[in-house]
Amino acid sequence: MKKDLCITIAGEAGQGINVSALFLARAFIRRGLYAFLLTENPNSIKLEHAWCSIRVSQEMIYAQSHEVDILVALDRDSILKHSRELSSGGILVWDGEGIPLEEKDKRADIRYCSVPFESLIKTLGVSPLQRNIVAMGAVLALVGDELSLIKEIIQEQFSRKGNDVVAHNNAALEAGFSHVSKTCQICLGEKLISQNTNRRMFLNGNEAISAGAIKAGCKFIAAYPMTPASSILHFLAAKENDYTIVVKHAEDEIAAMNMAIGANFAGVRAMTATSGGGFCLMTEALGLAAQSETPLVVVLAQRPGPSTGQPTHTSQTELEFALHSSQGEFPRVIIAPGDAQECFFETFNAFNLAERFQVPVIILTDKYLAESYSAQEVFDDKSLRIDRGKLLNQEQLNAAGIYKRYAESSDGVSARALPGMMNGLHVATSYEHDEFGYYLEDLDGVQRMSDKRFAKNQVMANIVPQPRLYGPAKAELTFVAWGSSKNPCLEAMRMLEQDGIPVNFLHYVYLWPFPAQATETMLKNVKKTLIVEGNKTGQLMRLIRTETGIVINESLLVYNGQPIYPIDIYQKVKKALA
Amino acid sequence: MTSPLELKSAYSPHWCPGCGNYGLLNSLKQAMSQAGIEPHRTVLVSGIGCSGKDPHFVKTYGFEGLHGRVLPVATAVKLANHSLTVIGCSGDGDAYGIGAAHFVHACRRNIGVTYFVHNNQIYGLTTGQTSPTSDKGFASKSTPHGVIEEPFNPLAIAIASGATFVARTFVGEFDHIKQVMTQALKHKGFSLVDIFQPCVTFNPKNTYEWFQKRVYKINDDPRYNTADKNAAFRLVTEHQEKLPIGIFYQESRPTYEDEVTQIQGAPLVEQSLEAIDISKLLTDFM
Repeated sequence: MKKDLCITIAGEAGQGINVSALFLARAFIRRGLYAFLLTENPNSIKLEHAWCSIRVSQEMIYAQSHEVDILVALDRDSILKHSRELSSGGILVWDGEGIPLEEKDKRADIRYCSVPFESLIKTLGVSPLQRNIVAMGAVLALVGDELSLIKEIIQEQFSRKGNDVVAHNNAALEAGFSHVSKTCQICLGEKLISQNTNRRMFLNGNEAISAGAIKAGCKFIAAYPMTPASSILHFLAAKENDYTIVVKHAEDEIAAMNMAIGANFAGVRAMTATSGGGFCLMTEALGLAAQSETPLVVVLAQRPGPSTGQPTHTSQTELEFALHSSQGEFPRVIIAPGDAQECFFETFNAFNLAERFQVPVIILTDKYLAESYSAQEVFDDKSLRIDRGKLLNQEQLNAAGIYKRYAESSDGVSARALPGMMNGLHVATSYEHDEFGYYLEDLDGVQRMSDKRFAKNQVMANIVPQPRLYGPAKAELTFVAWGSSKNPCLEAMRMLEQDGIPVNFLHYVYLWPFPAQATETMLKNVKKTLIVEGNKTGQLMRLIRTETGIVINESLLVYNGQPIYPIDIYQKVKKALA
Repeated sequence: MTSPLELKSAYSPHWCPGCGNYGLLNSLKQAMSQAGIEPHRTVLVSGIGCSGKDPHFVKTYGFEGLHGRVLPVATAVKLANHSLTVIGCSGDGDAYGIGAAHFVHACRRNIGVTYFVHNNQIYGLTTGQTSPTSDKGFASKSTPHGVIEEPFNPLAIAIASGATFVARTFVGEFDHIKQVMTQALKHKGFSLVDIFQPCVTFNPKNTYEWFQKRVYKINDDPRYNTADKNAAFRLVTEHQEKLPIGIFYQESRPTYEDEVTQIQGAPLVEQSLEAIDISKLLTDFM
């Protein structure tokens, strides 16, 4: 018996695959289990191939699995594309009436469980769209679960559409469940049924970022839709009344970014979210935020480029872009959260850093992190504190005497006054300027103002969290990774541990200001290093070398648009240590 | 009331001697005074170009942003704090060239921003290239053999896009410009004032004399009805030797900020950020 299970549901986009996978996973979560859900919708156009993969376990799991235990194939194409992923002993669920399989085409080492989706739906007189609900019932029977939790979820999700809809869905669910209970004497999930009632959240990276932004008091988001960032816009728009947020779907990304800057200038915590192509259009304004010292938070959710690239896939190709985007030199913060917890807490922190240092803060994620769901303990937000930095109130401004918006200071940060306040009049400008904000062409002054802004860099470097070492202090090999590669690395570390191979893992969330000293300390005495990145050129590997001179020994670079699989890291380590 | 003199900043203008911007700046301060704006409750947003320098010379809050991006910044300032008066200053290149998309969307959005476009039909700051409003055939450094395109028609585009206040004036008409700018500042919603403003250095064609010979005031005719959209559209689109100036079209329509329900209680900037309760939000993820 395996200690965890992987269920893949595959079919055509528009067949409700995402919905059924999310419902199923949520039912497992409510059972007290852990789950991880990877969604792959290569194309949002109906009828194109799409699939979701749920991994479920009694123990904490970090990432998706390469081996599938149950494959629900809602069309012939899905059988062709995914049946080879089934592990030995796995089960193929398909409509044997609609898609007859010849014996010679069947694998001897897997089991076949036919569920006549079409005829069950016809008998019930429900919509063909409810094939996916029948499939959920089938899966729950196969794993030895029952239907109460999934019915609870159906009730919650569909009750506003009417009792008919709930009843039809329940009927479809029961049809799938009882058909499998009667015809297939297979049960894969005995060990899964947990009595643990510890409720966890089940959410994706974009939802965690949105929740973090709401908690941080983000009151304005301007954005232009772009996969995989769009769901941040959708989420905040859905909550605009509950949390008093103004959400502007702008005419383009240039407008979105300039709006986020304008709102911040006026004193409202504001953000934008986009992917690489949109960020290209925003880069000029990134420099505007820096030069005018306006706080700014921007989410850059990566997908493979160049250009339109692979819009619905994942990549980690924009670290160097984020580092160097926009003309001129200026301090910035780059944060790459590795999981949903970090998405929440680091987004909260991003808003504090943006105001405290009056700099642009880039939150660097990717499709894999943004759209994959995982089980998380409920975020403990009690200790979170809003820090608006040197934002003056009216009394402080009255006492300040002659107000200089860009007054020089030891940490490079000047006190901020907001439009509407008395005695704080100033010009914020994209030009190089003097302490008042007026034009400056005196050469000494120009250099002084640049030094003033860069003074922030040192202070930020001292306070931002350092890269974190996971695993034992001494190891045969050390993984080095950033952002969303965290979970596959942790999973691979566990696999290697089980083989008795001690590895540890250095994970970077804060990438700029670069933690050069911590990197040197941590990597100085390790035996062997392996970089794990979702790009072709090894962008963190090069950054480490540039900043510290340290040369990474081995690399696993994945740039096919797919997330990094723990098994690939595992095999790479085995080879490297052979 | 704040006097025009009180609106003078500590920093002195430095445009070319004779530049139309001097007159425009004076008129701006007079109109702001007439409209009763309070300096600390006013934000002047500009882009890049000779017009972009305005915020340095006016004692209010100012934001001098990027070329062409005046309206996104101004829109967000207004949404962040709709109790402020928000004024946009652009040139013809800024507003109608690089910023044309934002212009169209600001018109249809009817956001409460007063937009003063300094239209000299040339790129002055970059030393004399053809602008979107340069006349067909106009020769410049970038079009030595004459521009081939028809000029951009800001008034027609503003009306077609749903702007609720569409006007044009000329810096050579002192009372007219002051009056039109004042009316624009008092208008609720998005207002466009396209302002003829000669560039004495780089545009030898559209001079003060050239304009003085051609402009005529449409609102002097008592029969002209600023509420008649079709008449306004005909007037701004038909070809004529003379150049009409005045308020072409005005309507009363709810502004964008009027329709954002979240900010009807108080401006967004006054929302508390402390101890926001997200427990319900987190429970929904279970």
